[in-house]
Amino acid sequence: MSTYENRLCRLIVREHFGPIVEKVAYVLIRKGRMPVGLIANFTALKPRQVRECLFVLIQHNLAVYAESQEKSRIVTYYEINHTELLHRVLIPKVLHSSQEWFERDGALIAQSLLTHGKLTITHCIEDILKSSGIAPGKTANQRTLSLTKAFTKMVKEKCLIAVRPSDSLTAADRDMAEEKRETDKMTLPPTAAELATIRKTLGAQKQAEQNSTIVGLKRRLDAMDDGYGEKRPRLLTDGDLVIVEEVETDVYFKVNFDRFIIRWRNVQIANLYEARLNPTAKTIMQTIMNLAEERMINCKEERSSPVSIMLLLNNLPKDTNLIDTLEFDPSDLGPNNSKPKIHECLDKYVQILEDDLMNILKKDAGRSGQYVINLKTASQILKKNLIQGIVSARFGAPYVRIMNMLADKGKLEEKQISRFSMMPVKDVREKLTTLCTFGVLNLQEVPKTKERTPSRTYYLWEVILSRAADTLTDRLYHTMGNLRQRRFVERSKRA
Amino acid sequence: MSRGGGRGGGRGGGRGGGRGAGIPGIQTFGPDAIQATFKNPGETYPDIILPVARPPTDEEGEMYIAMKKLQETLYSSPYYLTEPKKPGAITRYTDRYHQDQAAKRPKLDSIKSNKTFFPEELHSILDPKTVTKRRTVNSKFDISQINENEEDGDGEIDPETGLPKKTGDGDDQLDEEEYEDEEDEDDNDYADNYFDNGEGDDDDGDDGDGGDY
Repeated sequence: MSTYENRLCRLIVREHFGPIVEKVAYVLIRKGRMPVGLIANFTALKPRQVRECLFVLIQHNLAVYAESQEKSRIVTYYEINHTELLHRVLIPKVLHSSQEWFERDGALIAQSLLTHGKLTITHCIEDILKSSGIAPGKTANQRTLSLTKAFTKMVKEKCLIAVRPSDSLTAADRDMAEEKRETDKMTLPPTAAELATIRKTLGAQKQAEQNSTIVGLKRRLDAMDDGYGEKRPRLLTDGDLVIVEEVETDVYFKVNFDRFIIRWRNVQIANLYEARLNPTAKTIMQTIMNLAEERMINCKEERSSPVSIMLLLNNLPKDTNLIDTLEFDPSDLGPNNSKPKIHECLDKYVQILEDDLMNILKKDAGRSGQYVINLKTASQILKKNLIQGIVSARFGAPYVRIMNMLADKGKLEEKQISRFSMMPVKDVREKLTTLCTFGVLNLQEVPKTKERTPSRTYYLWEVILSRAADTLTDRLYHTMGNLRQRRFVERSKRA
Repeated sequence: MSRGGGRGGGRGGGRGGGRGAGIPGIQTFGPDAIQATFKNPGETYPDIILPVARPPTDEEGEMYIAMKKLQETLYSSPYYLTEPKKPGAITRYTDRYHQDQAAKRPKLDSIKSNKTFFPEELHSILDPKTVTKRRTVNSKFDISQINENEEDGDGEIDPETGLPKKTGDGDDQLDEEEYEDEEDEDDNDYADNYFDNGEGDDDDGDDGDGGDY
């Protein structure tokens, strides 16, 4: 955890929860996990206050706890969940997107959930009705129905995710408890091989659990009912009964930031194709991503789940113009030279997308007619574009030229760089050192002799994408921390 | 990363041609760089040309309004913890106008949440009537059973947390009392701290008054 990241985390907590929670959170962020007594020591606060702060943090899914036995007491350790804390920076965008995708009801639900951390559906609706009131034309019942519908939709699309009491325990402790359960079933202590197989099966179980049905949603048979079921397609009819999916009323939900991040990333990937090919290509990519999105859990996955062309054909938005935007070779069209059919167009489009040099869309190895998106290459390309944009805005075109050349050609020496980029060596040297202090370039020394005399070593410059991305992220955290700190100072001067 | 896309993506403020206003007036790199040293740290606030940011887009405006509303809600919610202002020695005229938000916020126990999410020591915050007992784990160490079964001493393991379940405290006390009796049997009040067995004898003695302890 870098200094700037810690500072940003602390300022986020201060912004949302006040100075006392900030002190507790800062101690936990910097020093790791500790029990209440130790926190009270470090922050000079009373234990009661520390407990209230920890309560607030756990309520908002920012802290987790673990209980361990020490001699004869059971001590509870608390730890901060860094990823959730940094996700809070995205809250404005989350609110905006929930309005965009789920309309005003969705925005209100997201706001209520973000205020309270986690809520059940009934409490959430109560809270919204209390805070926003009811428009004069509608009754409370209608409002409740529409809010329930919006909530159910958000749960089904996994924008809201269920929270279980086990989520308050640290992930490592949960894994250890499960392992212990398994090993206790065996009489002898496990060998290394057995332990490895146990871990693998538990890992597979966890994977399956995440991909399976959504927790918190239950299905029941219900008579076809106007206010609720009229727009739903009939899933299964048994006389007049229809399967209706409802959210369970006693399960707590929270905003699932991962899902929002995945959707934003998918939009960015589709946008790559707009500049490169045409808007129709972008729509096709977007549809593929929407179909594959259901199985995506977080941004770190390498490839999406496969999507078949048939499914794609059925789900394309109605106004995509496939036919007019493609030009077919007259010989392919057949004897009548008639307009090509839609599925031929789609085939051709998918072929073009696949042949594109970005290598993002690929055929699924096992099955025919199914395509897979290579998310890893897509995110590399997005990162590279972003870094280029940052360097170009901050330094200018010659710097970007050097960076691009190094990214394409690998490791180069000063002399070669100046030759390829057509700039004098003095200029090149200055730019290289600037980019290196900025964090984008790396230097590799290759000595010619046993003693590493500077005059007899090769200095090779290169761009390592992951390192560049990390350094720039750190810079971003630095800037964000600065902005917040400045805002606090200026506000307190005027208070 | 796409996460930082909204902020850093090629739309940095002050874009201006080749080496535009993106670089402030002070050179910190290149051949005429000004390096700060201990003796010459430079001015605290040197003159720089601040880049002018572009105006916010509509989307950003909407996001700002939504976030501001959320922050106001959070500020007046029970989750924002502050110390209530102590009433000063003198009541002032402005006390009426400087309202103390801490008094107006609802209390933490009015939150609708579930106790199962929290560890036991925090249950009293949600429900003030819970009395938290200090949890100890009793490891029964019965000498007569030591040959029978070594695993019996720890009791059951709680499947959730992997810790032994709590059992009664009664047996522990009995064991302690037995040990205490044994110590008292020596019947000597100063048994532990009087006899030093020759350990205190190696003072130098050359330092004068060092012998009176």
